[in-house]
This record gives sequence, C-alpha cells and structure tokens, in this order.
Amino acid sequence: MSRKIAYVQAFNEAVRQEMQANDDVFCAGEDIGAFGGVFQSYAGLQKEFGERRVVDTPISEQAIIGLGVGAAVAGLRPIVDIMFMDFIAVAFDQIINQAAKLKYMFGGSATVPMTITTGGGGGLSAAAQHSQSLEALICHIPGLKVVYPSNPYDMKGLMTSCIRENNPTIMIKHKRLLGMQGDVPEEPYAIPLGKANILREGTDVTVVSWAKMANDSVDVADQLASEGISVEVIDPRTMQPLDTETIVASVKKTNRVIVVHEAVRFAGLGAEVAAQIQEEAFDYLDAPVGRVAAPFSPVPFSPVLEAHYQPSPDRITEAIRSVLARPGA
Amino acid sequence: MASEFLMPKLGLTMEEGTIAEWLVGDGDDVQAGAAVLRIETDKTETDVEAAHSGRLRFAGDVGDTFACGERIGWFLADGEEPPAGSASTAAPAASTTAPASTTLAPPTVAAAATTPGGRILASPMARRVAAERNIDLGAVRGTGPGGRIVSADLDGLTSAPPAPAPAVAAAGITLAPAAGIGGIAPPATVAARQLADLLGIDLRSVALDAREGRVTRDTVALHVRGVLAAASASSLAAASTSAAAPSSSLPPAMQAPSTTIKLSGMRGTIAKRMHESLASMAQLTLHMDADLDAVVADREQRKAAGNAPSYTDYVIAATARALTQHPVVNSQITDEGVALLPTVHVGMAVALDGGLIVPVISDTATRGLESLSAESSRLAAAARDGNLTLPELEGGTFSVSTLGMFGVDGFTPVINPPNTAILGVGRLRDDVVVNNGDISTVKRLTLSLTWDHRAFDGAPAAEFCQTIATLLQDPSALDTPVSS
Repeated sequence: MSRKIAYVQAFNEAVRQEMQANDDVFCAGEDIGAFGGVFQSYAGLQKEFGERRVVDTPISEQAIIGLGVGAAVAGLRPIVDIMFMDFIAVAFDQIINQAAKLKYMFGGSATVPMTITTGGGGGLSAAAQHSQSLEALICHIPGLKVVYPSNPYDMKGLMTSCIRENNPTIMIKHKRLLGMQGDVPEEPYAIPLGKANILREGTDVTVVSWAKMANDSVDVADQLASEGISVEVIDPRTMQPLDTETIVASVKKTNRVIVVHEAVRFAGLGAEVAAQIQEEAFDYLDAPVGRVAAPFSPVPFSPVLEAHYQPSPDRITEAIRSVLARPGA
Repeated sequence: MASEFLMPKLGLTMEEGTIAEWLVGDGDDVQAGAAVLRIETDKTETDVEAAHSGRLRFAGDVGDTFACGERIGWFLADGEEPPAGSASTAAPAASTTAPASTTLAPPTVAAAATTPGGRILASPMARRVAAERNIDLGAVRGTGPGGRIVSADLDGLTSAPPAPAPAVAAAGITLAPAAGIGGIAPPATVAARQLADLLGIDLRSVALDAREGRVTRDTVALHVRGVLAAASASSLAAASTSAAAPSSSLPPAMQAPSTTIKLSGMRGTIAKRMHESLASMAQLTLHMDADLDAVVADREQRKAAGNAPSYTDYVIAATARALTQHPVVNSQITDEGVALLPTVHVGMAVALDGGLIVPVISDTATRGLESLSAESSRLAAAARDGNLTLPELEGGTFSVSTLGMFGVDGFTPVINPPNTAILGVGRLRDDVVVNNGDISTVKRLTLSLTWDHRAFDGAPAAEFCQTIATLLQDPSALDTPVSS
C-alpha cells in the first residue's frame, strides 16, 4: 500500500524494515541513538531495536567507519553514519584503503557488506565545511558503490538495496530533500543499484542530473514544454556504477545533452558523463555536451551568495537553450 | 600533401565520364567546392567541383574518358609536384555502356561554414548522417552556432554530386580485408559498431581500415554503399553485359587471410573482364596437336642467322593467316549480329607480376615473320616496362596466350571480350609416332582454341585449327605477307 511520506522517513523505514528482517543489521553513528540523528534519519530505531543494534559513537569518523569495516568482515551488516558528507575526508583511510580494498586484498575471502550513510549537498547556508557535494571523490574509488536518491520512493528502494548489498555502499541523503514528500509503498522493496531512472521523457535534449538538481531539472523541463521544447531528464540514481547505457540511448534519441550537478564543475561527475557520451555516442551529437555546475570555489555561507553559487533553474534553462540553438535556422 | 582528383561517380550506374571542358587552367589555384571541370556521361553533361583546395594539375585532356574513381588530376600544395610514378592509370574505357544516373542533386547554393584550416563545421551527428547518405557537407548550409551543420540541416537531402566512387575509398581510406573469423567480431570503433547495429550489418563482413587496423565508421559506410551498388547492379537487367558483381556481396574469408590481394587496378580489370567474358558468352574449348618439325628446322636456320622468332611468333603468324581464311573467327558479336572484321589484329598475352596485359600486334596478317617477331619482342618489353600506350592495347580481334614455358600442353583460355575466340599454345614436346609399324619422334605442341558458340560451331572451329596446324608445316608461307 502506498502513501505519501518524507524522504527522511523513507530512509528510516528502509533501515527499520531491514533491521526487522535481518538480525545482522545494526547502526552506528554520532547521536543516532537517543537523539535519532541530526536529521532524524534514525529516529525511533534505538527505542525499537535497543542500544546494541543502534549505537551512539564518540565523535570520531575514523572509529565509526573502522568499526563498520571490522564488523562487516566479521559477518555483520553494519550501517554507519557520517553526519555530513564533508566529514568523510576524516575517514578516508578507512573508506578508501580498507572498506574499498579488503575484498580485493584478501582475494575475495573477506567481504564488507557495509553501508555508509551521510548527508550531502548545500542550500542550508551551512557554510563551506558542511555543504559540499563530494560524490566525484568517492566515485573515483574502485570497490565503492555510491547512490544519491532524488525522491522518497527511490530513497527507500535504494537504501534497502544498499543494506542488502555485499560490498561497501555509500548512501548520500541530500539535505534539502529530507522533507520532500512522495508516494512510498509500505512493504519493503529494492531498486537495483546501477540502474538509472528516466524522470521525464523528451525528444529534443537530454538532461542528466541527480539528487536535488534532478528535481530542479524536471521543473525546468515542465516550463520549457510550454514552449514546445521536449526535455528528457535522466536521474542515474546510482552514481557508481553509472548507468551509461540509459544515458547513451537517450542521447542517441535527442542528439543533445547537458549535465547538471551541484558539485564544482572542474573534475565533477559531469566531466565523466560527458566523456562517456563522446566515447559511446560521438556520432549522435549535434552539439557539445553542456555542463551546469558550481564554480570552482568553496560553498559560500551567505544565503545570497550560495543561491548564486548553486545551479539555478535559470542557468539550466539557459544551458538547454544553448545546445538547442540554431541561429541560422 | 598532394591529393588525387578522381572521376566522380554521379550515380550508382555511372561507370565512366569524359572530360568535356576544363573550367580552369592547368596549374591554376582552385578552392574546394569551386566548379573546375565539365564532364560528359552518356546521359548528361555536368560540372564537377574541386574536392580540395590547391594547385590543380590535370592528368587528362578534353575528350579523354575515365572510369569512375580514376585519377584525372592532382591537387598540389605550392611548389609540389605530382608524386613519382603517377602516370595515368587509365585503362581502356570499358566497351559496355551503362546508363548514367539521371537523378543528379540540384545545384548547390551556398557553401558550408569552414574553419580557417578548411574544416567544415558540422556536428558529429551531421557527419555520420552525411556519410550514410553520401551527402557532400561542403554543399550544405549549417544553421547551428557559427554556421555549424546539424543533423536537421540534412533532412530531405540525398546524395550530392562530387561523391567519389565507393570502390576507391570515398573517404580516402585504405581498406584491409575483413578480419572476422567464425564467431569472433573484428576490432571496431564504437561508432562503427553502433552504425553496424543500426543498419543490421554483420561487422565480420566489413573490411578493416588499413590505417587504423580496425573497422571504422567509414569502412562500414563503404561496405553499405557497396552492397547498395551491388543490389542496384543486379537489378539492372540480368541479360546486360554489365560488370561482374562487386566483391562486397561475397561472404568473408573463411580463414583469417595471410594476405589479401586487392581487386583493384590491373587485378580488378582482369577480374571484371574475365568474369564478364565467361558470364556473357557460350565458351567451349577444343584441343588439337600441331607438328612443328618444319618450324623447328626453320627456326634453327634463322637462329644461325641471328634473328630467330619465338615458337609463339610462328603460331601467331599461322593464326593470323588462318584468320584471313576463316573470317567468322575474326569476329565480334554486335546488336546487329556476328560482325566479321576485315582486318586481323592479334593480341598476345604477356604475363606480368600480379597480372597480365594483352598488347596488340597490329595488322598481323600483313607482317612477315621478321616484322612480326620484332613487333612482338618490342611489345613484350614495353609491357614489362609499363611503357605500353593506349593504342597498343586497343583493337585486338583475336588473342594468343602461351603457357608452354610452364610445361602446359592444353588448357581452356578465356576469351578477351569482345573477341569471339582465343588460342592457347602449349609446350613444344617430343611425341612418339607409329606409322605403319615404324616408330619415329616428332616435335609437337597442343593448340587450345576457345570460341564463342554463339558466333560459330565446332566444325568451323576445328577447321580453323587444322588450317593453323597445316600452315605450321610450311614456315616459308608464314614469311609471305598476306594482303587483307
């Protein structure tokens, strides 16, 4: 049965249902127990499952991830929370050199069925150390799977898949989407990792974007439809592995594409998407792949500057118009 | 870097074109896209645009006819000369008449936007579509930013005039044989795979781009054009004496070939003409022995005098005289019937590396042995040196082909169209003859006559051979010119 719940509740429900289904699943993180997490992602879980399965940890990201890696190798299925994505930098050795590598280093005899959850993205005037979009950094590491849902339905299905996945996954919750309402079935369900979602079908131009930007892109597409411009919006949902096939199929249909993301433009995932498109669909392009992204600068604290910094619907619209431009027509 | 200017193929069925007028001077600087040449096909007269910019040097004169894809000139940079060994590769124009296409594209109006380096601004999508449809992007007006051609600019356009013939590498690419074996797909670019997918082409049947060592988008496009041309050719009256089916319709090599000899140039001409010969005539071969004791004796005498003709020369001399006595053999089948040709010009097959060529000993029957021998030696040397001129290759009414030096007695030579017969000459050997119980030896060789049964029957063919054999028994008669 389906009903409307928030993005953060969809996350919470996926964790609760998997904990009910599997005693090996447990959670650990800063303030996730009695407090339920700074974003209430884990609200009510300690009460239901007890302190052994919902663990409040000291403020040490290295310890949190390290605990998860060890427990995972020992046979449990940990969910470990890093409050803000910015803080994964503190635990990069545990993430990059341990979690992502153990299966490889032990020839497959050790597995790390661990889910790292964290809050990403800006828009809350949380300043340069609490607003970053660092998905490109972790997508660069073989051994990690990275998901970044754009709506409550995808959140529940993808979080369920992350918990059930036998390799380390990183679930990024967009902070500005936590309250987003959407239809979510009550019963457990899983959305396969590595499968993109066509949020909106169109024929003139393809927009590839994820998380909050995917929603903004759909809004822009709705607006442009009134002008007769048909925009297809693709949300990869899983950033690693990336569903290039769906993107390429769309580009072959529309012949024009832009990538929209909140992260800085330089070496952002837009560069990877553009590169894959030119490798796989060069002969289908009528225009260079466009990118809409943040400037090469830390995220500003000032609400006015942050609004200027983040890709806006106006900039997305402008980018779509520029790849469609045929001044000589 | 010098670029070749090739006779364009203006339609799927156009085989050749004749230079009607050069619109610029030899050595003039020309711009890509400018009309520089007017050509005639048998259906139309049309202007041809320069495919490149540069100094245009002619390789053909007004009135010359070239097969599509043959070089008619060079585009050169300043101070550059045509590459060495670039003498015209023109072969005699095929005698078959193929109707030229009447579906010429409309005259072009505006040139595409180009960069200072001359590159046409076109999106990758537009380039692919243009390659598939054989559209000259230089003639398309772009509507994208900066005049870039986008795919929508090609809507409704079909092939454009100056498209080089498919068989000679439209994109200037060199083909290597298809490499696919069994179920293994050959190396291919992503674009090539996608194009092949889109068109339902099996990549294993597509030639590799020799430069890249893999199947590219261009070789797929060439393959498709070849298939289209083959389909078009085969649908053109099966009864017509048109060209052999292009090789592109053949299955791929069943093993990875160690090397593949291209069916181009001389090899291509031979392949086409010989297949055409067997496909269009009712050919059959008879063998007859000729005694050469008298010829051997005559030759020994001349050898002592220092000017011995070859045995083949004797056979050619006898054949020429026999042809004057059997005019039906010196003939050509025309629309009106079997045309008896009054003058005898015997072609002699000369083997070359990778092929053969048939220079013609003109007025053969009027030559004495000495004159004939001198001419055959001269032509053979010229053939091996590549110095034959077009007139020396034209007008043969009959051919003689010799394999005797390889120990061959009899074989089945293939008629050189539009002749109706050809004579094969075997090795000179000693035969044992039993005559009323007496055993002796005789010098002999086997004649192999292939003729077109449409023109005459077995009895006249045998009589013609008997005449040759008889003439070879009296070499002195061969030294007397026959007036024809």
